[in-house]
Amino acid sequence: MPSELFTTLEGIWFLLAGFFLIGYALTDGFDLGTGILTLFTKKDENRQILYNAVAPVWDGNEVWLIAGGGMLFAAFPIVYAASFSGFYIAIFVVLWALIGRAVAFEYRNKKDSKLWKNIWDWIYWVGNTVPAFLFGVAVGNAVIGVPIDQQGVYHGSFFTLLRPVPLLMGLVGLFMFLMHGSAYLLRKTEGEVFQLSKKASYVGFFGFVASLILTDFLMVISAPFLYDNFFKYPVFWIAPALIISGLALYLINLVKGKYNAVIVGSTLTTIGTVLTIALATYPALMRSNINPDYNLTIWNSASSHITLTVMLVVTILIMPIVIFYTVYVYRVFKGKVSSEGGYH
Amino acid sequence: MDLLTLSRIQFGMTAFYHFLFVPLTLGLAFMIAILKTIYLKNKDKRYDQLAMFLMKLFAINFAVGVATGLTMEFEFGTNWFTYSKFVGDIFGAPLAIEGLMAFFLESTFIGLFLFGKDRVSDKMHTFAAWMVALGSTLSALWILIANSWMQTPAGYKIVETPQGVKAVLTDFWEAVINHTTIFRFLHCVDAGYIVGGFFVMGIMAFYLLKNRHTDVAKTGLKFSLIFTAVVSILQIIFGDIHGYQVTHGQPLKMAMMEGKWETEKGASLDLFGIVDDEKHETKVILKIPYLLSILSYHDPQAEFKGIKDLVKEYQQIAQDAKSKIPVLEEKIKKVEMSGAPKEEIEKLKSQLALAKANAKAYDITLNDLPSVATVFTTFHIMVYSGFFFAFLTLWGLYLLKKGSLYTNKAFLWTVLLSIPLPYIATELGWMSAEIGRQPWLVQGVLLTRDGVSFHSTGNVWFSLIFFTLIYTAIFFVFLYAMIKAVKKGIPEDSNHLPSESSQPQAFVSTFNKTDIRR
Repeated sequence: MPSELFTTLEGIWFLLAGFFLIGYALTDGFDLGTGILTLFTKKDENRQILYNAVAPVWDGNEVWLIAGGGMLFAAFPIVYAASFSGFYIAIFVVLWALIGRAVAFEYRNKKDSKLWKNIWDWIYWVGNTVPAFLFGVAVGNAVIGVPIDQQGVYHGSFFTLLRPVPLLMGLVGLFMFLMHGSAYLLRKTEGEVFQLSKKASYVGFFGFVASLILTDFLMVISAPFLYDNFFKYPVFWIAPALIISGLALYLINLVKGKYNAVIVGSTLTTIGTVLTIALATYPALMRSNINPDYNLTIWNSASSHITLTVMLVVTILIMPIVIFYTVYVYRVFKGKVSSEGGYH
Repeated sequence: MDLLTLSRIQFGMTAFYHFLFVPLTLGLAFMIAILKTIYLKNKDKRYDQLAMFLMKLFAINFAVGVATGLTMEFEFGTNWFTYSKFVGDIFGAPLAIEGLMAFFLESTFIGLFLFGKDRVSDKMHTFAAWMVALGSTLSALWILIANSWMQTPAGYKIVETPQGVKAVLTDFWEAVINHTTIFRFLHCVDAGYIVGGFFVMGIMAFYLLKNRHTDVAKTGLKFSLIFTAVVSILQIIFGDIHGYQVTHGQPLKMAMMEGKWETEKGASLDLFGIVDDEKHETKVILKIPYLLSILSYHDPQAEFKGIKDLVKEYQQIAQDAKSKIPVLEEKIKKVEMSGAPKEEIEKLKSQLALAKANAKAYDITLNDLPSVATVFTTFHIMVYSGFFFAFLTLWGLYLLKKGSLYTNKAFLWTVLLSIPLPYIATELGWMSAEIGRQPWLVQGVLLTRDGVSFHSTGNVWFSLIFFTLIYTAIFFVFLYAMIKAVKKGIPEDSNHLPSESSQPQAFVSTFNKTDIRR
């Protein structure tokens, strides 16, 4: 275990960046995963249930992304600048999708017409499915390397990003969110939607396993350096072990019919997946495939110690409170949802 | 069009659009929390009805506000690469804190407020309303801390790294307060309260004119009138103090706002004028002698510097900084040879970096300035609107005292038609603040043209076109939903989502599609 992960501010912030990524994947994962299912049921009331399952909490979930983006800007400004300007088109596609999702929630039921609702359902589906896929693509590109120079300027195009390994990682992410979202629905729904979620859980599970194995194979060929850390620091194997045990739990609970516990499996799998990628790329946050010396690592891209200290204190003070009231609100809304009322 | 212009248009457009939704969020959230508190105290159902009805409008507005706010956070990185690298150390922190402190609060508790009415106690429900209000106000605080630092940077030093030049934090509190934050914040949040106040007043006036919900509408009108009167009068004070700070922190901006090309002793306040950007002169139509000097320096004889002289001063600063560069370089060489402590070398190096930054950023001519006519006009319309709001609410208070507030058609119509005015005033205020800040992104340190990303213009055209299409569509949907909700009226009983499906799924009737909650 590299001790600088806990003894230096840069190392701690690397872990915190992982913490925010995991927080986002676990919470907004519910929304993304349930949203992917929108178009797989034709009945209006079933679709309404999918919206209602996350309606009271989705807004707070999305804040993990906003907070995470802000954290990246504050702690590793160059990585924020290089990735956001480099992945320009992809970033905006994700953004427009998320805008569509937010607006669809609010306006879907403002008019009682089939066409109106259908349009919003499509927007909502795109608004969940596209980000679920593109987040993985973006992370995949950052870890296998993109054409950035020493200043962090990106010298590729949108199509540079569409290489096999990142695309496969996009699929890994998509199925991961589907697993997590359908596990959430198993707790929140009954009847037809519950049956749909059960199917989706299997699809998510097998899709995830298949794309993960495929990604692994391709990575061994095209980006073998991502395995170095695991041989350098054997303790890092904890992360892949989390994925495996999460998957096992997920499948066992699903087959045994312990539907309320399936989510434990997808939670462990999600944490494991994010950790595995993070530990594989450590200490680089964004690699350059022009010259490894241009890699943006935690050492050359972190903010000053004074900024990192201030942000650390703020995070330690505020995050427990945030988690406390988030858990409280989730508890207020626990139980099965109906299709009645709709969002507003 | 070149990359810089396109990037500025896109950022300006998305910020302008985002700010169509922000002020109402600030004002309404605060009013709803007060209404809920009154209801908690006196158990008068009308206040609860009002609060729930307004929250419905709040939600329609909030959705777009959140969605477009996400854009703002992404856009620093996408379109202003060099800027993000340069200031991330300082500018990123308030943005991140805004997320942690404000957005989590606002977004989590709005869910509880909208969907949890019958799952939590009245007290908790009111608490949720206060948390939404607190969250929106805190988010304004942190984003204005970030903005104020760009306007009047403080508590930083400049360093050179292999990845480029950057500003580094030296004193967190100095950077946060930087002497303009507090009143910029009060001025901006109060503008939001005025927007919210007029919005509610206008809708209540609409119901009174239509003879609908008269009982609740009277309560709502009286409440919103008193609220708006207070915040409108406060705004004149905040505006004056904030203006004073701008004069001292950003004299060039104030000179542009006042349309003063030449330096004047005992400067007059020009109420109406036509600014000519070509000839560098302002034709004054109506003025109040000495007032500008009094407002800016609290002394009728004080000298108010004009645009031309200020630009000359800045060029002098640039010259001085330039001449410092070789001197400092020599010094650094010497000190490095003598094996002095690292801190001393670091200090000199950051002095050199600052001199380089200043030499570049202050080297401006009149051609680098934005359109002074725009800054002058936007600022003046904002100020006049502010006085109009104060007078209108005073008229309302007078009618309230006379007892004819609810029947005076002239007043009710005026208030109803005034709903857009505070929106216009806040947007124009921001335009004068941000266009008036040009040519700098960070005053005196980084020019706007040096902060932009390295893209093909095609990229920015692509995003700009899409933004325009998406935002236009959303705006019409938003208006449609808003108008429909207002026309539908205030629900008699503040209903809400059934908490749990009390019946098996199969029995959920598809005909039961009425908006049960409201």
